[in-house]
Amino acid sequence: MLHNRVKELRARFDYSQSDLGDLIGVTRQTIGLIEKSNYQPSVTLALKIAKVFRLPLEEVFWLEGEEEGEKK
Amino acid sequence: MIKKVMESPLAIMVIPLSLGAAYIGVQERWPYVMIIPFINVLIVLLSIILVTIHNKRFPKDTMRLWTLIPYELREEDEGMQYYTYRATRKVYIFFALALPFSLLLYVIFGNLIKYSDVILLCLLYTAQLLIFWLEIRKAYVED
Repeated sequence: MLHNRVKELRARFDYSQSDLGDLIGVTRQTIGLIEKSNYQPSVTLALKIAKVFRLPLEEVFWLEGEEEGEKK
Repeated sequence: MIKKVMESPLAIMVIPLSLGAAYIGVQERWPYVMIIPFINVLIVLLSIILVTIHNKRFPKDTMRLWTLIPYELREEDEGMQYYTYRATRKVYIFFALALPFSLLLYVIFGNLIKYSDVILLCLLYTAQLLIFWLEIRKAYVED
C-alpha cells in the first residue's frame, strides 16, 4: 500500500487542502483522499505534489514496508 | 448549497417517481392526481431559476441543466473519477443481480400486485441513485 507525508508537508508549507489542490489542479476532496491513503494518485499527480514541496518523489510517497523517505 | 440540493438523489428522483405515482393515480382515478404534472412543471421552472442563480454566483463552477451526461459522471479530477468508478461498479453489480430478480418477481407476482411493473421500476431507479450517492459521499466525508 502506498503511504505519504502529504499532510505533514502541507502543514509545513502552511497550505490548506484547497491551496494545494489549486496548485496541482485537483479538488480539495482529492487532496483529502490522498492524505488518508483512500486514493492512490497517478504518477503524474504524485510528481506534481512532490514538485510543489520541492522534494524527490520517494520522500513524499513510499510503499508499505519500505523506510520513510526522510531519514534525517 | 444550490448545487448540493440540485445534485442530491432526492432532487433527481422527484420527477420520475412522481410520474410513476401520477400513472398509478390516473389508473386508479385518485382525486387531484393531475396536480402532480403541474407540480413537476413548477419544479422544472424552479430548477432553471436556481441553476441560473448558481451559475451567476459561481461562474467557475457552473451547472448544466440540459445535458445527456448524468451529473454523476461529470468527475472533476482523477480522485473523483476513482470514486465514480467505484460507485458505477457497485451499481452495475446491483443491476446484474436486481434485474433478473425483478423479472422473476414480476413473472410470479405481476398478475397479483397491481402496477408491479411501475413499482419495480421506481424501486430499481431509487436503489440505483442511493447506491451511487452513498458511495460518492465517501469522497466528501470530512476529517
